[in-house]
Amino acid sequence: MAQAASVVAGVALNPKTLAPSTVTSTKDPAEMFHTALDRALRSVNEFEMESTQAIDDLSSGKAVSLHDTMIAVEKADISQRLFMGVTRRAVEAYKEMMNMQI
Amino acid sequence: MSNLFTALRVGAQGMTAQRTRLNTTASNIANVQTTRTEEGGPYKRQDPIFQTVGIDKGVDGVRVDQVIEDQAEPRLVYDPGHPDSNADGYVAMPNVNLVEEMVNMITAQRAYDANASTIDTVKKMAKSALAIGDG
Repeated sequence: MAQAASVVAGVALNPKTLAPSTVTSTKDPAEMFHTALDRALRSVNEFEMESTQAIDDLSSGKAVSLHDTMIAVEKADISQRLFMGVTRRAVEAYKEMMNMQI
Repeated sequence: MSNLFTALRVGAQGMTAQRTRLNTTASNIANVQTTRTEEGGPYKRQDPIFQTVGIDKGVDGVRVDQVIEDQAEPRLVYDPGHPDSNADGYVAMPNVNLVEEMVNMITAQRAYDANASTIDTVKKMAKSALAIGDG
């Protein structure tokens, strides 16, 4: 949940500061959720880095086409929205469970 | 492998191909009266040849295979005072038809816009998918 909170803050994480992946593939449901979240986060970060790199290339004048830059930015946007949507719903489901009267 | 971003990639390749088409058309228009080239002789109009790039079953991208020179005969214009005229006083002018080039330019622009619409539509589809369950 701490990882999810940091993602909701919307920070673009540098892979150097991201802790090395400690997930191992097991069939434990709790571990599977952690694995999926970890993979998704890395994928979002990868798109984000590609988009930053594309914008840098364009503004420094390297021969990069304008539409490729815009598409890299849109990809990062879509994947980030998807990730935050999924995280939000997961957190809501958790809250609903915790609010159940015993 | 086919996912939401496949259409983005195909659209991007289409836009790049049309940009190349615009570049060759611009070159043809700029050189409509060029009588001197490095290989000797007048400028020959250039045409890009497009080729499919297989991405998935039924999904093909596009790329420029090569840019060929139109081998049609140059126009001969009678101008004995021109430094590049031949023995009979005719100058070989490029085989570029300005009207045809303008039409090519318009088609390239429309195709570029259409590919940009593809990409916009991908974004809209993604947004509506992400809005499932919000209502």
